[in-house]
Amino acid sequence: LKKLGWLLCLLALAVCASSLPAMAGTLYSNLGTGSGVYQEGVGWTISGTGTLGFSQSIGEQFQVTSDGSVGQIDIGVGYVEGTNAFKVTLDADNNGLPGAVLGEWDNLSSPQTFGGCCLLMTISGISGIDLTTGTNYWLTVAPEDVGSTLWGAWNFSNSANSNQAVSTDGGVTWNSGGFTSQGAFDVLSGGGGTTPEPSSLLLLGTGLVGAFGAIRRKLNR
Amino acid sequence: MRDARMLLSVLAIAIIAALGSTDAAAQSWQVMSADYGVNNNRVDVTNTVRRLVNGPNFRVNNTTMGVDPARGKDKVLRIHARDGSGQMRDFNYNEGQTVDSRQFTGGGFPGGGYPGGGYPGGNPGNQFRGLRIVQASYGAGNRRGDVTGRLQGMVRNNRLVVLVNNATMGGDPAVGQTKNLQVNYEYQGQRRNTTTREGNNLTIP
Repeated sequence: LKKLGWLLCLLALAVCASSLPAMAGTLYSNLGTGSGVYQEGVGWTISGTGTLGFSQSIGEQFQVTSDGSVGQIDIGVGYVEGTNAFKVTLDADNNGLPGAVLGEWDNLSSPQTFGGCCLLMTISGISGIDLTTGTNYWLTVAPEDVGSTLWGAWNFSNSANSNQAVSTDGGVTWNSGGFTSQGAFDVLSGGGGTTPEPSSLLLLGTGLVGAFGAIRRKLNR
Repeated sequence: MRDARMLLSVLAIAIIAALGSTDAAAQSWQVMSADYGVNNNRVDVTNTVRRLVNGPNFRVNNTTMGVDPARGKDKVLRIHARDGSGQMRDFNYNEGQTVDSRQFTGGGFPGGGYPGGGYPGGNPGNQFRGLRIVQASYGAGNRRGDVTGRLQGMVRNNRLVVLVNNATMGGDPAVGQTKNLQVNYEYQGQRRNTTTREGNNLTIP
């Protein structure tokens, strides 16, 4: 019985430890929490030529905080007027500008009217895109069609700045936009979902060890 | 005596020439700002007027101004201009009157760039590195007013900080609708477009 108690205790720790890499993690995020997910009501214009007379697509450079496979992307882009259709790409870096396209998602609609907070345009179920720490990547948001009437805006993040790229032809060619306020987004690994905090995991593990420890003590008596 | 006469003649010619050049300079007024409307319902049309005065004479109406800030009311176009000697003057034109484009120039931006020229997303054509408002409009749908000059006038030390509302934008171009401010600006050689919802602060850079 004593051996069984120890075994259960070790099993609890093993379950806790092995579950860590399997859970979704945050590869990159500049999103805040609660009602401050991003700066609502001010952002980079994303547009086709139909309403404003010009098209603008924006690319934001980022690096991931740990190696991982992309499972979900959330973008704080708002809808102003016109056709609510965006195109998003995740690109490799090419001399400080968006390069090879690693993933592209079309005909995305923003669920958030610009000026409000804090719905996100979510792309989930992503697989097959592995990102590495220390490497520059780009997330770009463009109108689905350069000639469309889309007028949207990529809300500024609360505080992040980054290298930016600007395109006036829907992302075919890019120009440097300098180092400036970054649009709000996150990149999650392993199929997305809520990212567990380390402290929560520690609490869970401690609780399990304690519980099995108590069981073992009872069995010893 | 003969030399004195010649000297006086040269002097007289020089004075006449100087007067003539002063008069010519006074004929060319640089558009500093312009607004259109009546009483408190006025919108900034600086960029529109700067573009128009580079062409033929034009009539003042809602079509040429690109906006009707006070439906059903007689409106006035006010042009605030400066001549070559720095003298400021206001020109007022009632709706329906014709503006003589020849007496105005549309310049007035640092670095010599013309705000109405070029593609908003294109690269800058001059070496000015500070903040320049290339084009800005405020409104909703097709009821939008040009606020380029107004915003440029708010730039202090190459920085623009403004709470976007009808008061700061010079009027309400779309009564009852939620409006957005669209700004195309150039800073340190980079051109960008931002959108700001009515009621929010815009800070550039």
